[in-house]
Amino acid sequence: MGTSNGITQFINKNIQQINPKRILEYGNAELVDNARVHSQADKCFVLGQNYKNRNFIELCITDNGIGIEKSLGDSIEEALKQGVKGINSPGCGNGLYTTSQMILNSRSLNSHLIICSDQKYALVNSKEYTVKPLRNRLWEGTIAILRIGNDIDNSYEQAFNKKNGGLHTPEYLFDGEDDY
Amino acid sequence: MGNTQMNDQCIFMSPEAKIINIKEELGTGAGLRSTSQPIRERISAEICKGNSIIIDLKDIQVMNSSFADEIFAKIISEIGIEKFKSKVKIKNANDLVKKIINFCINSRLQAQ
Repeated sequence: MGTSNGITQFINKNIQQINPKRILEYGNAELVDNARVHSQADKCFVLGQNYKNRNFIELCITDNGIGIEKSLGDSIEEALKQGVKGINSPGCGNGLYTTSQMILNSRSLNSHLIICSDQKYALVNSKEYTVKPLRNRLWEGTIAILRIGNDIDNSYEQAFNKKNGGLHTPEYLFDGEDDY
Repeated sequence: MGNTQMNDQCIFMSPEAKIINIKEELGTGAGLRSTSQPIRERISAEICKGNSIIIDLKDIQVMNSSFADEIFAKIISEIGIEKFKSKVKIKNANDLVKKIINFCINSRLQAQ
């Protein structure tokens, strides 16, 4: 159990491959940010474990807050869509979307994102994205489990330039230059 | 401190250009919105004073969307892309970070 910065140190200490490291850092920050900004929780727990023999690292970010439906005003399915943000949210509603897209776009057999909130859970891996009912729920807040395998490649970058609804992210900055 | 560089876009850095090294400010992690807000406020303040800024992203391997939104997209939505580019220089951003920044700018501008 630790802080977000502690988990960053844990990631840097336990992973040498650049692709898993990047996704875990990104996902950790997005999920912790969601818990801080949206959950209205007074407690948020961040746990990490390195499963060396099984070739993946798993993070769990959980809070005792109000859940996604109350904070978003909509369902967990909507929460994973691009641009869907919470009531009075300061952001643009891309954190869960991009994190889930990173995994969906990958060819990893050992990675997934699970979001449990309210009466449902969403499961995202490289083959599918499903939302199912959660029976016998004992936890009031939101639980996010991010598992990233060592087999993940750099296809996660497509999460940020993927054509979506006919829109392609233009090059507002950089214009092909290394710096500007 | 600072370079003077003229190009087709007439982007130049004044001798008073402030350098913000994100790694020194926050470490190499992707950053949280709460930690990025003071940096955004500093950038905005410098722009208001007419100063130029260099944002150094050296050793930043990845940046989360909240951080990119706070540091870049929000300011651009307020002052416009051209003014931002005339006042702010970004150095040492890797390809993934560039994609994330552009993605977040696009999201915020589309939402307006």
